[in-house]
Amino acid sequence: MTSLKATAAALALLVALPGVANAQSTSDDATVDVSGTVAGLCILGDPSRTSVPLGQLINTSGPQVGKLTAISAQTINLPNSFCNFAGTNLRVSAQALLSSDTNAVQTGFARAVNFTSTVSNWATQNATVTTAAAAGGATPSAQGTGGTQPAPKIADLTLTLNGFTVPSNLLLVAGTYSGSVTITLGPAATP
Amino acid sequence: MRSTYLIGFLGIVACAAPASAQSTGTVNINGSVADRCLFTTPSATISVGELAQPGSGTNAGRLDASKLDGQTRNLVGWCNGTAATMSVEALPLLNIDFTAAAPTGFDRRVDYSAAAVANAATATDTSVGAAGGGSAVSVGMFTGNVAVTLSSSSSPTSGLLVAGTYQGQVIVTLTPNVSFGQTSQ
Amino acid sequence: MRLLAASLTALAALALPGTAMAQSTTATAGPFPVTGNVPGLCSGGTLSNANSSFALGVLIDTATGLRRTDLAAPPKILTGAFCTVRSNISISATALQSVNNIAAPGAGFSRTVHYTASASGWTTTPATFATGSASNPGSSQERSTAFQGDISVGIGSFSTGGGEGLRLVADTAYQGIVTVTLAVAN
Repeated sequence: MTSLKATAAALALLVALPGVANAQSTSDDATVDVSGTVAGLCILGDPSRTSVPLGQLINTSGPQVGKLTAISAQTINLPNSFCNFAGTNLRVSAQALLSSDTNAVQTGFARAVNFTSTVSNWATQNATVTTAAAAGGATPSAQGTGGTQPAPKIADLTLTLNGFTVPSNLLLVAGTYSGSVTITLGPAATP
Repeated sequence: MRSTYLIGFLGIVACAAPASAQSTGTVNINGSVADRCLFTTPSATISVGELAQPGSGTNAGRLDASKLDGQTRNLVGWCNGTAATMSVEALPLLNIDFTAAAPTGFDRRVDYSAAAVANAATATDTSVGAAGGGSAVSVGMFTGNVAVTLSSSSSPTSGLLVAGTYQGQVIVTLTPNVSFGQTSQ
Repeated sequence: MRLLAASLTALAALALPGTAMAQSTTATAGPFPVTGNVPGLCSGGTLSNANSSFALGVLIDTATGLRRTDLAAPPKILTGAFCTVRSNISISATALQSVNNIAAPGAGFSRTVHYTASASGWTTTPATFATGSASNPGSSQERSTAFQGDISVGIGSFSTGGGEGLRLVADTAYQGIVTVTLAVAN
């Protein structure tokens, strides 16, 4: 009988396992987030030429002798110009040609040649400006802004100079004349 | 104390008289461990900054593949069964600021290939083409790093990248063998 | 369960190339120089009425046979003359002489009428040329600026070559020439 008690005591040491939930096996996911940025960028393509030499500006004979001769349209191409963001426009600023002689002009003479600059193929409305220098050379600067391009764009741009005129079609004083044109491409909204 | 003496005395008495018979009982202990996989480090981030090439040459503004190619991060996980498998899904980087169709000459998406390596097994996927991940590979029982590496980045037309923030994701899945708890033999 | 020592890499933004050309949201092309030149040029303008002759008519007082003392002709106007640069105006003239009597006339007669030609309106001091003078330093005048204007060419101060007491040989054609030149000054 004592051995039975011993056995019973031994049997009392039943190990009671903690209740293990019989979980179903499932997949597990992990993620690696990948991110980067692209900064807003505008680039104007390499120009087909970097200057516009017009040569001799006046007629040397005929009824318009001494006055501005006919000058054909001049162009500069900027291929593969682009902006990678929306809402951009072109701005063109021009300086009328002025004689290097800065002395006051005599009656009947001018020292300025005005012209129109247009940059096309960006937005629906081209950027254009016509200089309005006075005969004596005052107010030679002018600038104009084109329409807003609503999406990123890559295009070949063309700058055209034409409409060369002298105020009141006066005689031009002798000398070397120079003006300039600058093109800017960037965000349309003013910062 | 008195009872101890009693027991001892009883034991001696028992040994002295070998005639009584002993009986032995056994208790079986059973348990089970389910096949399971778990990521203990379930996320990581690769931020590469500017994705486009700098400068003013013919490739300015286009994808700089060196930014993504070779990028690697370690996840950490384990699987406790020999039948575990691993698969990878690579989701392309998309411009989240510009969601319209990319204009002619531009891309708003960067594709790449992703490889996950764990326990000397490699699972791969490319973000190009139909959605959905790559094939599952056998990874087996392991605990340790799951290394994720990017390569072969590209853009659909090799065009200019539209400006903005680009986001994508690599999803790694560990799948244990599908089994229910078994009692051991 | 212990979390394994996770070696999660922190943000690993690659360093941007430091030597890249500055990219910008604004691009500028130019300024493109636009150039030309205007040469020094003079144009003599056009004579009014397209009548290029000073018609003096009868040169003598028929009662005396001597040169008339009231010889005169209206000046000629060159309209629309201009120079685009500093210029010289110069005038030269040949004496009024009998065309058909080219030999030296006999005693008491002359075949020459001298005069002074002047070009005015171009310079402060008119350019003048006296056909009877050995030298005419005032025949060329400089204008320091470009100019456009009318040049008035006149003749006057007549005298009889050889002396006022000589009579002019008869000829229906006495001729002299006045030349006005506008030139770019060097």
